[in-house]
Order: sequence, then structure tokens, then C-alpha cells
Amino acid sequence: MCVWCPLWPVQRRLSEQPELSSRPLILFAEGRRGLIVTACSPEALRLDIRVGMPLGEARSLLPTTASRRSRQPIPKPDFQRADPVADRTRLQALAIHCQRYSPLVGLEDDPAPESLWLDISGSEMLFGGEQGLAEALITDLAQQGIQVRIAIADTWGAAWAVSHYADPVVSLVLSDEQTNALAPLPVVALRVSDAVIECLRGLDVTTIGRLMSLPRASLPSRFGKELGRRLDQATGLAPELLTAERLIEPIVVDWLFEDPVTDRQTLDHVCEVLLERLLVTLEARRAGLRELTCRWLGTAAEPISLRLLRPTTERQHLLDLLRLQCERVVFTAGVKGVRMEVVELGLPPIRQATLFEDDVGEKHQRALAELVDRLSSRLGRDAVLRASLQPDPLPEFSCATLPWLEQRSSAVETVTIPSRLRCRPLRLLRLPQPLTIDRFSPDGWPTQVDRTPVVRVSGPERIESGWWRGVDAKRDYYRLTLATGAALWAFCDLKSGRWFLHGLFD
Amino acid sequence: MVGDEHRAETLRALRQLCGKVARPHEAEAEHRLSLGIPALEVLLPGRGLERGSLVEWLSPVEGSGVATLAMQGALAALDQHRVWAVVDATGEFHPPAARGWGVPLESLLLLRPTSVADAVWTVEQCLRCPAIGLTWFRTEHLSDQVARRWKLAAEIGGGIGVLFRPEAAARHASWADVRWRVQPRGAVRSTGRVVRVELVSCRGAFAGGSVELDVNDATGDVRLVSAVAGATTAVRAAGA
Repeated sequence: MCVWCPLWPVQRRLSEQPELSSRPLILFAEGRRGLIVTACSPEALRLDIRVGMPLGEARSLLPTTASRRSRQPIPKPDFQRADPVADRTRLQALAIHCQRYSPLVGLEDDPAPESLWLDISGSEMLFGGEQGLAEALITDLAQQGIQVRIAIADTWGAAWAVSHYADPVVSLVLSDEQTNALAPLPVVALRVSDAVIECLRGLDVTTIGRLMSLPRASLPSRFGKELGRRLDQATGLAPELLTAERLIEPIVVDWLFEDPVTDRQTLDHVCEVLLERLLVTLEARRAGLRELTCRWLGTAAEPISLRLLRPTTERQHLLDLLRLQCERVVFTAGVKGVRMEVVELGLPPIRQATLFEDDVGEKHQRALAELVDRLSSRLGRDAVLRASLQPDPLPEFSCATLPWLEQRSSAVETVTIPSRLRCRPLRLLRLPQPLTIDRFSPDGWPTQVDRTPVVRVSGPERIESGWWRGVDAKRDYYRLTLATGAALWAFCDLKSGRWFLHGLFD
Repeated sequence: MVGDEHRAETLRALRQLCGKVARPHEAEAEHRLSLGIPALEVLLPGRGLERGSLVEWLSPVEGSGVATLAMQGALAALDQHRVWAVVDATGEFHPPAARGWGVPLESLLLLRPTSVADAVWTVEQCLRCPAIGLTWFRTEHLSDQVARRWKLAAEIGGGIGVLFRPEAAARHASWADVRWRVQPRGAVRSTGRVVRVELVSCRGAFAGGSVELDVNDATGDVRLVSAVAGATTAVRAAGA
């Protein structure tokens, strides 16, 4: 069975935000030449907005279209950035939901899936046949605000083609009529690339029936292997795999007290016991702990969230991290219970047994991971950072920091010239501080700063940038060496004429 | 004769004893870490730093270039996948400048504690970790107890702890193995600065040596300033 959710990104938004249902919804994303429309609701289609259109063009089209088409006020359109990850995640959740109709439910094999595949062999009996099952499914999903089209066939390919390109909302394709059902459908229903479609149209092969009338042996040499494979998958001559979604059972352990407890030692002991239980479960699954939450039932105390750099099952290390965070929790009322839940699992690192001693590099990596876990537990994730250069001329935006616990970005490092970076100070003030210039030279350079003579001035280095952030920066940077030996990095704001201290060459 | 031999033997034994007291953790020369500035290494007993050392850099003013000098030895301390931890309580450390001086940012662990207690704990944790080759921290006040804990932590971890403190701290005793004082000089260079670096104290060596260094931002070189010959010497050399 193939369950197609037409315009899935739009349907997902509308099911989550029902208030948008009366307004045109336009989803956009970054394209090769700027922002483009990736999906739009039927209301937006009626305003002549099309998928693939530049977003600017779509925006400019709205008022003109409104005035030309009707005099009635058109609801304000809603523009939202497309989120393919959230779309897929919701579809996966829907697949899990549909496991009440079939034990094997998966997503179609596509980068932006819109369909679910269900292996209903045997389960249709529970719903009074295939038709009954399909109707029950449609009713169920409609209650969630999701409209679907369903086809049941012997192959995934045929079910997909019929659900997408046949008229009825529910299509049942009998085994001996599969070829007949496919024949009138367009060749697009075979899920082949646009280039192959264009090539077939050039030869006036517009339907699957006409394609099947061609000699099968000549297809690979004329249209590539993809077309033959898809045709065979649709007709059942080639297999197609279904990757079923699996509901991962949450790992939760809890402890309920008879009376509310405030004693720290008791809570520490309970945490230790619960952690032991979790580790036993993890050991059975041969998994390591990556993220854990610990909630205090019956109290408003902040729950503990523990995230690790590498999955681990080391009891003592986890206990130390838990205690580090528990020390900081303030209990304003007695705790009625403790609930511990594993948020993320992972494969624990494999330790290679060596004949002599551990590799020093690996030993250091392990020690660093434990240190980062400890520091993040006590200081917070946002206080344990890695730095990366950014291609921005403004000093305050030239470096980005990211929590060390998050995955390193795969972005290409900014190309830099070391001598230019050496002209930047090692200490950059978070906010530029106003600087008092007592005297200027006839050329307009500072000669006395805060009652200290300036013995050398080098510069200026002009930086004009940041207009896209709203406030354009126009600065002339100077390196001022004072008589005390201090070297300052100061700039003159060209818009206000005021001087600011921005860094120190420490 | 016998009395002379006995005296010589006694003196030799006493020298050995004094040496052990003064240099309890003497390491082989190949195990010492370079400071990145040969002119400063000459002033140290083993021409380098032992792993597990605490180094204090004292400066009279902010912006004296002291951190730039301390950073010259960073690469030597970051061998075998070790990491450079910068405990930056003020959030003012600017990594691009460190990148300009050759330190890879992949090896930089930037820590921003929000309280003094957290900062002290963070420094100790970093010093105690064998994966941290270099730990930086800027502080004005440091109790003996904390300094002693840091020293022990550094010996356990095997990294180098670098503390930046104001010059006024030189009046107090310290658990640091090496103390440097940096004084910016009046000489002005077109692409850098001249600083005088003095060895204030060092375990196992006599303090008091000093050198003048020319820090060139354009080339990234830190060189010894050539001493100008005295006028009398020059006159004599000319045969006058």
C-alpha cells in the first residue's frame, strides 16, 4: 500500500498551525540564485504563484494579482522557510502511528519523501478487507488534518504510480490487472529523472503503456539503466526494498518516594541506583549513553540535562557528572520522585587492546572527552567552546564560537593571511569603550589619551561593513602605543566622530 | 692532604644535596618544552620548561604584549593531540589573533566561567587533565592555597600552566616554577614593539637575567635586540 500525502510540507504546516488554513501559504528555501518558492498551498496557486519561482517575484505578484482577480480582500499570505528535516521527522512519526495498520511501515526512498509504504499482507483481514483498511486509514489521518490518496498493488512502484496519477482517492489494483492499470499513466509515474522524461517526450512516449510496447532490451542503451530498473520494479520483475521505521522504546527509570524528600544524600543515592538500572539496560542493548535527563517529580526544580561528547557506559564518570549538576539544583519543595530518561544513545567507543600500552593520542582524546563532559556539566554547554574564523571584516563578527559538545561544522575554513590576523589584538573588548582623546595632532591623530602621551600611531585601517545587519559600521582603526608601553586598538567612528577603545595588544 | 680531600668530598656532597633541593624534578633536556624564544631559554637552567610547570608572566600595564610572548611556546606544548585551554572569564580573548601567530584553532578550548569559584575550579581541572598541554588564565589575586593546588594539578596533568598577573604580584611569594616580568621599552618600531623580559624567579636557577626582545607583528618573529657597543669600547677598538 502506498499512502501519498500531497503537498506534504504544506499539509504538515497546516496540520500544526490550523489558523493558516484560510491564508495562502508559501514555503521558500535557498536556491542557486537566491530564495525560491519550494511549495505553496492551493490558495497560493490560485494567485499564480508557482514552485521554483524566485521569492521576490512571488512577493511582487501578490498585490497585482489580488487587484486583477477580485475586489474582495485577499487574506494576508504567509511566507515560511522550508524545513525538510522537520517534514521528514513528522512523516516518520506518522509512519510510527500507522503501525497500527501494518507492522512494516516505511518512507518512500526519496530525499523529500511525501509517501508512506505499508506492507499490509495479512493485516487487511482485521479491517474487513483492503478497502476497509484504506478507508479506516483515511478517516484516521483526516482527524489529524491530513489528506491522503491511497493505492494498493502488488509492487511498491505500481502502488506509488497509481496513488499519484490515478483519479480515485483509493485505488485497488488486482494482481492480474497491474499492467493494465499502469498502461494509461504518464511516464513520470515511474519515478525517473527529468532528463529521461524529456527524452521520452521527444520520442512521443508519454505513457507507460507506450513505453512497455518498446523492445525491453533496447531501453538501457537508449535511456539508461534507471528507466529499465524503475519499469521492472513497477511490474514486479525487479525487487524494491522497504526500510521500515521502528519505534524506539524509550529507556526510562523512576523512583517514587512514599513522602516528599529533601535530603541530598538520599537523592544522590537514588540517582546512583537509577543510573545503575539505566546502565544495565544499555548494556543489554550494547549501547552507550549520549544524553540523559533527570526530572524531579512533584517540585518545580530545574531538571538536569546531561550531554556527553562521546557515548559512554562508564559508571563513575557518569556519576561524577550527575553529582556536579545535582549540587547546583535548588529544591524549594520536597521531591516526590526521580525520573531518569535516556534522550540519545550511541555506540560506545571501542577500545583496541594493545600488547604494550595505549596509543597516547587516543588516551588524550579520551581524557579530553571526559574533561569536556565535566566542564560542560558544571559551567554549562555554552561556556565550553570551540572557535572558528568567519569571513567578516568586522572584528566582533570575525570569530564564531560553538559549544564543544556539538558536532564540528564541516564548512570550509576561512582563508586568512596570518600577517593580517597578527595585526588584531589578543584581547578584544566585548563592547567598544568610549576613549577620551585629550589632544590631536594637526593631522587629526591622537597625541594624548587619558592624560597619557601617545608615542606612536599606526593606521588607519578602514572597515566599512555590516549594512545587511541594519546598522552600517564605518570605522578607522588605529594602533596607539602609549608612553606607558601599552598598545591599544582604537577606532574613530566616522559617523559620529567619537573614539572607542576596542582591544589591547596583550 | 687528607683534610683537603675530606673538605672537597664534603663540598661535593653538599653541592649535590643543594642541587636536589633546588631542582627536585630535573628532567632530561629532550623532555623539556621550548619557550619558542631561544633568548629566554638561555636564562633557564635546562634551556626550557619541564612538563608540569607553572609559569607566571607579570606586566606593569595592560596591553604590554605579554600574552604574545607567552604564546610563542604554545605549539611546543600542543604535541600528541594536546589542547590549549584558555580560561577566559571576561570573554575578551580574541582567537583570530592567536591564529595569526600560528596556533591552530582546532586545538583551542575556550572556557568562559562566570564566577571566580568556577574559574578556579576550571583552571585546576584543565591542569589536571593530561590532554591539556597549555592552560592560560589571567588573574589579579591568587591565594597560596589555590596556587599550591594548581601546582600539584599541573604536576599530575603534565601540562604547562600560564598565569598572567599584574606586576604588583611580584612582591608576594609564588608557587610558580618560573616568573617573568615584561616591561615595554620606549623604542618604537614600525611594525612591532620592543620589550624587556626579566627572569624574576626560577626554581633551580639564579634569577635576575634579562633580555630585550623585538616583537615583529608583520613577520611574526621575536628576536633578541642587538646590544649596541659601549662608546668607550668603540673608541678603543678604533685605536684612538
